[in-house]
Amino acid sequence: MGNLLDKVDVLVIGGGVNGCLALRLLSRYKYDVALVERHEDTGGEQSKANNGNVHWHLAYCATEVAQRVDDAGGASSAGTFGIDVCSMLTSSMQVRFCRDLGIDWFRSGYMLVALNSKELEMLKIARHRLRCLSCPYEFTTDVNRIKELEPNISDKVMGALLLASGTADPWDFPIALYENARQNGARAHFSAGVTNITWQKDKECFLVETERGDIEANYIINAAGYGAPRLAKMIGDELKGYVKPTGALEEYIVLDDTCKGIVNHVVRRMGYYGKPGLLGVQVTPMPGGELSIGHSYLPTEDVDWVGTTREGIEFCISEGKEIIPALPISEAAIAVYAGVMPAFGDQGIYNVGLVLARSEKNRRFVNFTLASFGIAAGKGLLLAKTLQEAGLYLGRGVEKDNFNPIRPPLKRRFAKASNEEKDRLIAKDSCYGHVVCRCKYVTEAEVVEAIRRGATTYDGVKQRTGLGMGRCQGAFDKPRVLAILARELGIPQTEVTLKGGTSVETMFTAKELLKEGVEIKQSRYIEPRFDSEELKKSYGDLLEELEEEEMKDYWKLSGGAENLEFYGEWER
Amino acid sequence: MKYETPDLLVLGSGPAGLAAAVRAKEAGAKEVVVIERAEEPGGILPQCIHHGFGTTYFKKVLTGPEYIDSFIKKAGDVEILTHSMALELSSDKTVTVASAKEGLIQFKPKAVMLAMGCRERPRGAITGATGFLGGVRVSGVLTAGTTQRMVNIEGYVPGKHFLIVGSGDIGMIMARRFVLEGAEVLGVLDILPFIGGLLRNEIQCLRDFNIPVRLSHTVLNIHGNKAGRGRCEGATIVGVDKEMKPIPGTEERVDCDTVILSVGLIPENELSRMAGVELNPLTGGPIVDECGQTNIPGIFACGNVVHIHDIADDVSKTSEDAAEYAARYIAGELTPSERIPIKRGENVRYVVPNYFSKDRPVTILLRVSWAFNDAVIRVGNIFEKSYPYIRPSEQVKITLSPEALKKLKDKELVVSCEGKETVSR
Repeated sequence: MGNLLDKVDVLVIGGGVNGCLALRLLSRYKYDVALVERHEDTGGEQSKANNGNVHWHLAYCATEVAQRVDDAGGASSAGTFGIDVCSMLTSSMQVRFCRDLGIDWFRSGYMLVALNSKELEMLKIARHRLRCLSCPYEFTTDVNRIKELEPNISDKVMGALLLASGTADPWDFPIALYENARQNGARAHFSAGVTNITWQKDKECFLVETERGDIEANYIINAAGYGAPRLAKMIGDELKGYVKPTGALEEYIVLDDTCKGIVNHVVRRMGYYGKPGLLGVQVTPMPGGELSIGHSYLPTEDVDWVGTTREGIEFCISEGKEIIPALPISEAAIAVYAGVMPAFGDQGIYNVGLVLARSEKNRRFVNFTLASFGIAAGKGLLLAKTLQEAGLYLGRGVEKDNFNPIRPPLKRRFAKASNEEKDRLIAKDSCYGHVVCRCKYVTEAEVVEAIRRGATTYDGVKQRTGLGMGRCQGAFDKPRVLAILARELGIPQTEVTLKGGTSVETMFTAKELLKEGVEIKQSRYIEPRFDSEELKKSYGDLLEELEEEEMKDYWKLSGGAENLEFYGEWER
Repeated sequence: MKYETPDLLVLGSGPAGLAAAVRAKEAGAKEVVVIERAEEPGGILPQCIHHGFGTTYFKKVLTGPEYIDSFIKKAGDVEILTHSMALELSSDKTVTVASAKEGLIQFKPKAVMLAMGCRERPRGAITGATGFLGGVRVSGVLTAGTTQRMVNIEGYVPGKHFLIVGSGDIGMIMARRFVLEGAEVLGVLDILPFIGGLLRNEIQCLRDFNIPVRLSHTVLNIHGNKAGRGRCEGATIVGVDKEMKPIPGTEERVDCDTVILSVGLIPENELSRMAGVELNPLTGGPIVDECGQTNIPGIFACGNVVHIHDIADDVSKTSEDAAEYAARYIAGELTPSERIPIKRGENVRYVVPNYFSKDRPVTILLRVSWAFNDAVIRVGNIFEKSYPYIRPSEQVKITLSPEALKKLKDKELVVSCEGKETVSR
């Protein structure tokens, strides 16, 4: 047994979007909660490398896959949760959720399109399901109407199903949820991969051994993505229905912000690949103005390899062009990225990570690996329900009076500010006048704030501020960001990494290699900061700063769609 | 918020912007302000510590910092605002600038000189026939210019075993720099069958330092830690055919910890686009006439923002020419260009400027589209010159006087090249 790192009521294992959601939920209550994450930052795996669909499960639930999951008994009670809980509520919740958390979300709408008659049939099935959910939508086979909504869509389009949904940069969610949880007293331990979990009968709590020390916890939430089965096994839980971890490599290509306006909505092709239920490639307008096209699908057993392949990217391009023929790939491509979507189960069903239930082996161990249902706010509701079933009281008696749901946003703060606001920011802190990222206009002041909020790597700064995602992809900002990280963390720049681990960028100092016996330095643990002044503000202050947007127009879709009927459908 | 109305606002303080600012002042513009987003003036030159600057302009052999210092010293009462970045440019020449010292400033100058230079093509924008650079996204994959700053200004060497992709000038110069820093340069690749930069760099950087060159080769994949949480460990390179497609069976694994990309410079025209300046898809820069004026009266452009030059001296000289015209414009004395088109003909990749008048001299800069022996460059019926060897990386400069221009028979000026391909296409 090593040193005691922490002692908590509830320990969340895994700092992806699920874990951070759990942490924030729990931080509302007067419990001692903490997060352990094996990497140096939140959201480093699948949570940052996905389509960024919020509320996407509405359409997903409406597909054949959901039906097959239901038929197969699901993997838990969560199998039908989306259908019961999320349809209407989360749509309005989603707006509030993103506003409070300062997540750069916008109502892009979500349009499923059919480019052939088989896809049109599937679209009609989806529309039927939505009708059953009392979910507003627009369905049309009028090509003129579709072109009105999306002028650049392929001439082959035969039908479109349009939903009120939104999109955001996927990595915003774990970061925002984590910061808000920390604002409300939750703790976190990074670079602390879990090596063993034992139930201590005498103390009636878990002993969780990590790479950086031990933690005692009364409850555990296992939100470790495809690492979840390994952890569950530690308490003897084989996670019913989970056979072996496999995954699918999903690749994306990003076009620069000159592509803003090529699509008005998220546009996704209805399922095909010859495999029913697998949705097609999606063209996504991103909040920063970029366009992402993805994803490809390559089943893989090597779930750790996260790279891009020529074939995968070419697939995204050719499929993207099927939907939007005029995509300016060679003129505007700036980046490619990939993620591995974990799949559990032996039926080859895509994305069947559906567990949200307390373990049968120990009721205080809750498995929470709900995957691929978009970044739905509604998961929190079901998590709360499951925790109560596990014996953790989450009611009035234990709610914090001073819970502050508002997290001041940081991303692209300077770039989005009005001229008057920019002037004020520079007057307050001249570092707002030091541009670090010239493509996205991100300043030194924002980089420093990102570090004060926990970034210890270049990617950590990038994801919090939005820098490095423009046309030059970091060529201008990287040297400056590395220097600021070194300065603010008090470490030599030769220890600053791109994304943790051994990913140092500047390995040596000038002329060092000319000396005898140069050693490659080992990476060492860097304690993340969390001393932002902004995050210490009270709820009252932050509420004043937060503009109240009108909620009543939240049904409106971009692209000029008229208001949708609440219970009916509107067909042309 | 502050409001200023100088005569000329110059965006960028590199060899284009500073030369233009100084000359505009000399030519009669009263108030000239230069906007620079970095900490110090000079554009890219402060990090170009190699020599080769000033050979034609100053008739001396200078390093980049020495070259630009001469202009900074001449600046006199030209106001250079550092840590100041232009955020918006509108078609009525209003420029909004965020300045660390002054806050937000809105400028309404009489004329604007675009001199923003260029950026490097990143990994994700390599879209040629070989397709995208695949593999993991580890650390140690950097563009050459970024590493130039890291080494020369900040004093860091990215790695120890380098593979350089692209034989452009920056790649060759950094290859030499890495060797001088004690690192190992495993080789320089180029997808084309000839070197992408100047001959003098080929000799002084690669041959003099015994750095291996692999032409008609490119990189396919980057290897390293599976999740990307580590350093580059190697790359797979491959030979390519005439269509620049990978030749199966020629794949080779190179063990390296750093892959340097020197695969092209792209003029930076975000602000130009904002203002509605018409861009030339062949160059990525504004369409300009012989005065350096864009389609918007009073918005001029010079230097690498228009097209990529080979030599800073040429940048400064052509920028000064544009500045003279800008000063005349400010004084209300610039007669509009006749806008007779200059077009690229056979074997020419691009020509700048795009328009000329018969009563003013014009300096034409062009690049050919392939490498030729025994080449002849023709400009309409009015000019012809032979070159024993010519290639895309060696820009050709031709100055034509009004007397010569008046002899043009056609309605447009076509610039073409004829010669024997060194390697067949």
